[in-house]
Amino acid sequence: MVNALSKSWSMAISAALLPVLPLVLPDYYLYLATELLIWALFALSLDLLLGYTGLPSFGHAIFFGIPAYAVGIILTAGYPLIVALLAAVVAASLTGLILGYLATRTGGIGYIIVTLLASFAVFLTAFSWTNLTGGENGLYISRAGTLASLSTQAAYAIVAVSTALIFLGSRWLVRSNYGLLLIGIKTNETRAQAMGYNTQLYKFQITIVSAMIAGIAGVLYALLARSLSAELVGPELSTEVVIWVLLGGAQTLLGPMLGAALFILIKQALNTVRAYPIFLGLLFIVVVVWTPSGLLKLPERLWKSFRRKNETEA
Amino acid sequence: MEAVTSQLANGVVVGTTIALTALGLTLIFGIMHIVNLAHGEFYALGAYFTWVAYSLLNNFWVSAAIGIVATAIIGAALLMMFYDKLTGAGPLRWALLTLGFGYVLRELMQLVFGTDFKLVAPPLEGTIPWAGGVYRIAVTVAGLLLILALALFLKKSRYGVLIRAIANNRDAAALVGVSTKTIYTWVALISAGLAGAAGAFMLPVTSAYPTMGLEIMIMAFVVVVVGGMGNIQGALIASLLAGLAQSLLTLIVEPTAATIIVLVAFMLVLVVRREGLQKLW
Repeated sequence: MVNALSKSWSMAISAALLPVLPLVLPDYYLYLATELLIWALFALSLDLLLGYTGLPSFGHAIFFGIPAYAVGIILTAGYPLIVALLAAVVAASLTGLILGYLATRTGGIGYIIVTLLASFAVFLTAFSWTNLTGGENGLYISRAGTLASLSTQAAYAIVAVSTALIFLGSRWLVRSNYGLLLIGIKTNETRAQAMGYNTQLYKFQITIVSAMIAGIAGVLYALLARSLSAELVGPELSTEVVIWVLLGGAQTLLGPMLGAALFILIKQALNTVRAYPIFLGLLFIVVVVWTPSGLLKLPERLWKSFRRKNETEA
Repeated sequence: MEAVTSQLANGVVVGTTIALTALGLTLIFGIMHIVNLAHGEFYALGAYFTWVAYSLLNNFWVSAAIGIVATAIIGAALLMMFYDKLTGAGPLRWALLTLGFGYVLRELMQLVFGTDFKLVAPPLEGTIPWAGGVYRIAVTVAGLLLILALALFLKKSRYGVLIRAIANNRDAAALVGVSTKTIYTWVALISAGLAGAAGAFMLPVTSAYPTMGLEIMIMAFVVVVVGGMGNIQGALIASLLAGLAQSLLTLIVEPTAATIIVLVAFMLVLVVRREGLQKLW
């Protein structure tokens, strides 16, 4: 009950905050909020795979970075935005198809390793294929026709509306029978198969849905930040997003989104510290060891231990 | 022609190194079901510890032994640190935990040793025509002997039997009185020690630098998956194949491209044969 309450409270607060932010925040912070929303969307896309279907993808940045690069490359080549967006859709579908197929071929730990290696291979390719991606120097998209050419408020509005719509769509999806089946696959795939469901097909489908959402996040990022580097497809981002999901609480949709925002804020605060990767590593360890079910479920856990304590005393 | 044979010899050395690293990985995976993403850093630790010992003692083989033991102890201590908290937590949490260890270790090594290459002269001088340096051949032999020793240990010794018993059926082994935690500690020691050995042996060849662990770990994971997860023989053969392929490809393309080609080729193998190359031998 406390869990449902804390969830609905977090949702109510988020829903109330979203339209108010552009009225109260100065431009710099509104830009930051826009970026956080994009990362939150990315985290949500992974929650569908990891949290709901139990596919522990360690290569999720591929779905984010490749469509982002597609937009960047086509725009830089001088084509209009609509062509770039179409290219991004094609890129997202292709990567979704390939990794979705991989998901049906490997399970569990094999999936972790294969997706991680795939992310590494794509990173190496993006890093060394200088003609296409700018390699080490990165790829810069000129301002015209991107979100950056709009006012900060307008860019925020576009990102916020897309994020809210996708969130509601995903919520509908995971609450439908389809979503229940995904959770069924996660909990006991053999049983789902025995009940006559083609679990491979469902894993394949949800990978594509997840790839599309991550791709939208990537495209929004490319149009907002206008500077792309190989890290956007690499293993570091891929593994970090898994931490965001766990930090917020897997299988809650909202949790991973809040987890993403929180983690990035912590990261930005630590960014100037010397030997920052040590803190990043420690943060990983803390999340894994001490927040096993995520922050969103923390009130429920506290409540439970509180009640248990009271009962034993009474 | 000499370029080809020396690359072949180089491929065997690289393959042996990958094999030592991959065996540690596959051992800990097969028995403790842990995806250890800090394993590459154990390899780097092995090289750095050996370098430190060498600059004090000036004897390579003793230094290597010290490096291996130190790596084994630190590696096992890290792996067993949160063992109780993470029992039954599933592969995902272990992967992220060890990734966190990896970040910390890599940065610590960079802070302590800097980003420059730490060099050590090979303890054995001279070259053999068509095959390259004497030291490289010695390392290949030493690596293969170590692997053989491990195989014998697992097959014949009492601990080896206990390890295999736990890998086979953890609950049944615990039921007849095998202490899983003790055995796991041993496995962690051996696993980290193997990575340390690979790093120590490669110190005179590649010298020590902070990102060395990351590079070897990728290859080690590839061969572990392709060789059939937890399968020692498979990992061994896949390692030699990967080492040879990578070395020979550098004759034609750039090193990065060679790595990408090997990665993609091995992933394709995995897609075509889900069980890897396991049942081919």
